[in-house]
Amino acid sequence: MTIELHMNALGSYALGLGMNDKVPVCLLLSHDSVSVGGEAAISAEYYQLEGSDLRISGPNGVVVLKEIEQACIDAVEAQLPLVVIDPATEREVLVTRLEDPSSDIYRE
Amino acid sequence: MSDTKQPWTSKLLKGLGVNQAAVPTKGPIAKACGVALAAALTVAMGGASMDVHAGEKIKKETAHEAASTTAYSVVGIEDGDSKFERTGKVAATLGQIALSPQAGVISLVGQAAVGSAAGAGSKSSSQGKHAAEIVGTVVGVAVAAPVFGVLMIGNQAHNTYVFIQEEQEKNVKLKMEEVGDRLAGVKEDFTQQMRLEDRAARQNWPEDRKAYDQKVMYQAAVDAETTGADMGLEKQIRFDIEAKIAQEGGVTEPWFAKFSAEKEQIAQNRAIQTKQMLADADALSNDKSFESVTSKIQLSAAEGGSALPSSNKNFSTFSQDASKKHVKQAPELSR
Repeated sequence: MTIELHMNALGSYALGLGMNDKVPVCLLLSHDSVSVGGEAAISAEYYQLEGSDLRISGPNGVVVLKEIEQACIDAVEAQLPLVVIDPATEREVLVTRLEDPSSDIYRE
Repeated sequence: MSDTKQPWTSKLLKGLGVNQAAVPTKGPIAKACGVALAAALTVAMGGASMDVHAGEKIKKETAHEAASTTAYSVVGIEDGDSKFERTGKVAATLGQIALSPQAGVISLVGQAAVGSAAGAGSKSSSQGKHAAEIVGTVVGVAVAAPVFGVLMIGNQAHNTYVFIQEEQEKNVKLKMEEVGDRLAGVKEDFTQQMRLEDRAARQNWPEDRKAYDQKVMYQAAVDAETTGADMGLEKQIRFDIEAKIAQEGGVTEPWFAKFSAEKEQIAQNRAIQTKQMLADADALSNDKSFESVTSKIQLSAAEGGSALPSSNKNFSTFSQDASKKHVKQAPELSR
């Protein structure tokens, strides 16, 4: 299986925090808030934190966001889910953190 | 703008209770991406229908050029403006948008961008166009402000967003401590809500499918009660929901009502079976060659009657045979 890897360097994506009354409840990404790999992101199954990089994996490829903000790292560590939205095609997906790195099936 | 289709909104964001968003961005491309995300959020949270501009896409190749001016243009912020002036301009723009009906948000923002560009002189005419394109597509209000550590806070009441300065970031970090509890609650509510929606959806299934589903669920409940076997996660969840509804005095699905009515009888049958199994085990204990096995069977029966896995091949085979025998006997015993 060939896994397409979409690398988004620092400064070429926008990763947000969704909050409820100033309390973060999820990480946020939209189909077009990454320079590459929007399609992979909207169909992702899980994400992992590798150092300060966010690795979002699914059947349509892997999206890597390099050097995410500390606030986002905090959110990952608090086990918040990642919500990816694409209003243009009315799609959305809830991506949860993969706890066991060895069970990552989208890795060569 | 004649489109009357119900605007798409994000069930997930609604379920998680998201009513604000923070988007830290660094660098011009990220800023453009941030505008895109802001736009997507505006739509996803019920700000506007994307249909109107669905054909347009953000031009990534011009993002660098556009991003440095777009956000400023939208609310008329200029490079020399102080923080106070920026805030004032953002507030003014928000005010306009808040006063306009939802359907008018896009055009208003678009006009703001174009108007700003037109007023800014010849140099920015092309930038103004980018601004109009991007903002037209993405429907957002974005103020660039200092690039690092900028936060964007959504205001659901107004269906708009505004970038807020760095000090807000501290609030986010402080609030992170409260996340755990909050999330657990939100997640639970969300999951429960989705499950109840699924339950409601089942009411609209065709009759034959509904009947089959009822039969399957009833049988699973009976089997679980009879053998103590695991129902499987999906069925267990449905079982728990019905149990909760029953507890709260609500109307349960027919399979659960039927099962509940018969539950006591099933439990009695099971008790009889278990008793019989113990009696059989006792009988076997008279046979000396099975002595050590007997205690295992008794333990097994006490734990719910299932055959224990055993390294002793003979026991394993025997115990399976024995339990089959009891299953066969069960209907007679229950009469």
